[in-house]
Amino acid sequence: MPLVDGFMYPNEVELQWSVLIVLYPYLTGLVAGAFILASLERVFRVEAVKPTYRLALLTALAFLLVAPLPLQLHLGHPERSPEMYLTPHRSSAMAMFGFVYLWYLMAVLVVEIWLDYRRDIVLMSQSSHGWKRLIYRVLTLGSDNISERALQIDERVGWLVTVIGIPSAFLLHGYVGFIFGSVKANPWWSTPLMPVVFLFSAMVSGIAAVMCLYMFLNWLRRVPIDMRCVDTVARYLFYTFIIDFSLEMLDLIHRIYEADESFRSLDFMVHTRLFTSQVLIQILAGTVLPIALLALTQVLKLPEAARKSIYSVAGLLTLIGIFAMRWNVVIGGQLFSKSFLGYTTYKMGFVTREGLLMAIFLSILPLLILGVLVKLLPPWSEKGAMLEPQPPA
Amino acid sequence: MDSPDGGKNGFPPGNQSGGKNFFVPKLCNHCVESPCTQVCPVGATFVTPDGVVLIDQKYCLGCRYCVQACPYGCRFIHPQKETAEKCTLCYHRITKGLTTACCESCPTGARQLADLKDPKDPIHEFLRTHSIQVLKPYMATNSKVFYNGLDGSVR
Repeated sequence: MPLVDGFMYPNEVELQWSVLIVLYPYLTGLVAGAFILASLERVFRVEAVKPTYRLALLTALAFLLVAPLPLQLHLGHPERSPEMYLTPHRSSAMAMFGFVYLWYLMAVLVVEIWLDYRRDIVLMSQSSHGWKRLIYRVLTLGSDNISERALQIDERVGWLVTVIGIPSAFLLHGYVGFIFGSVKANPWWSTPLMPVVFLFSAMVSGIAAVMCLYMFLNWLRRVPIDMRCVDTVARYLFYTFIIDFSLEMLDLIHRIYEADESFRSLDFMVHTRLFTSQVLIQILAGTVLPIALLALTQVLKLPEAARKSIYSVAGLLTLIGIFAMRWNVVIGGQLFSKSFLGYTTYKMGFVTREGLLMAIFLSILPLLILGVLVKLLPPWSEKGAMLEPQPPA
Repeated sequence: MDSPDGGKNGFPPGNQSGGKNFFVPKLCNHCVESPCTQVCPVGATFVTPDGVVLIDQKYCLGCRYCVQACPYGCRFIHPQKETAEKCTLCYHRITKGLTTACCESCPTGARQLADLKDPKDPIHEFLRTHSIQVLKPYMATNSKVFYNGLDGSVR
C-alpha cells in the first residue's frame, strides 16, 4: 500500500497523534471502568462482586498513575505542561485534563483506597519491621486510631467519596471522548455520541480487565476462584457490552443512513486501510465474539471449568477489541484527508519516543505498579480469600 | 486542487482527458471563530487586536490539538522547534504598514491584503459586488480569506 493515496493536505501525510495517544484513552478507560466496578459493591451493594472490590481500586490507581505518561511523552515541549495548570485556556477541551485528572486521582481514588485500607495499614505498621514498617507508618499519615467509632466514620466518608467518585469516573472518561468528539474539523471524530461511546467502552474494558486480573491472580496464588463473583462480574460485562455495542452500531448506522459528504471517503477507508483493525479485530473478534461467548454463559448452564475458560477468552478478546476501538478512533481519524480526496498510512516507529517499544513499556508499566501495590496493600487476607471491604466493625 | 503526496514530489502533469485544472492558493484563513485558538490548552494561540491568529512559540506545548482542529490543514509542527507553526499574515510587515510577502510578490495582483475593520477599505465594495466564497463555509469559522469566483469543487 502506498504511503499516500490520492490527495492530502501537506500537513496530513504524517500523523500528528501516534500510538501513545491511542494508549491514553485506553488507560484512562481501564481506570474509569475498574472504578465503576468497585463502586457497584460500595454504593449499589452488589455483594457478589466484593472479592474484586479492592483489586479494582488498586487496578484503577495503577493505570491512572501511568495515564498521563503517554501524553507527556508525546508533547513537543513536555517541560511546559505545568502551564496547563497555571494558565489553562478555558475554551479548550484539553485544558481541563490536568484538573479532572488530579481531582480523580487525589480527591477520589487515593482517598477511597486510603480510607478502605486504613485499618490494615495501621495494623501492618504495628506488626511489620524495618523499612516496611516505615512505609506503613508514613501511609498512616499519623492517624492510628482504629477504634470502632473511627472505622465507622471511615466507612461513611468512604461511601461518600465513592458516591462522588462515580460521576467523577464518568467525567474522566466522558471528557476524554469529548476531546475527540468536539473536533468539528474531523468528521470521523465529531459526534456527540463520542463521549458516551467512550464511557461505555471504558466500563467494558475496565470490568474485563479486573475480571481477568482476578482470575489470573487467583490462579497464580492457587486460590479457588469465587465463581459467584466472576459470574456476576461477567454478567455486568455482558450488559455493559450490549449497551456499548448498541451505541457504536447506532453511530455506524446513523453515518451510513445520513451519508453526508464525508461518508464515501470514510466508507472507503473502513473497507481498505481500517478493515483489519476495525471490522475484523474491533467488531468481529473484539465485540461480536465476546458478546456471543458471554451470551452463551447466560443462556446455557455450563460447568464451572467451561465458564472460567469462556470468561478468560471473552475478557481478553474484549481488551483487544477496546484497544482496537481506541486505535481506530485515534489513528483512523488521521488516515483520511480533510479534503476527502486522499489517504495516508501510519508508520509507527520502533525505538523512538513515540514508537512501539515505548507503547509496550507503557502498557506493561501499570501491571508492574499493580504488582507493587498488591504487595504493599494486599487486597486479600492471609488465608487466601480476597478481603472484603472493612465493615464498620 | 490539493497537493499530491503532500506536495513532496511537486505536481503531476495536468490531466488532459477533459477534466479541469486550476490553481487555488491556500493560506491560514485567520478565522474570526478560529477552532485552533479555541482548542489550545494553554492559550499559546491567540488573536491579535487587529484580528490575526498567531502562536506564542515560547508558550506552545506542541500537543498538536490545533493541527487536528484546523479544518483547512493550515497548521503544522515545526520540525526543530517542536511547536505549532502557521502563516502569520506577515505580522512583522503589516504592523509596519507594509503588505504581506505573498501579496507583494503576486505578479498579477490577484492576492490583496485588505483591512476589514476599516469601513473605507475598497474590500467592502468588492465583497458587495462580486461572487465571493470562503473555504468550507459550513464550518462556520467566519474565515477571512475570500476567494473571488471559487470553483465549488474546492475543499
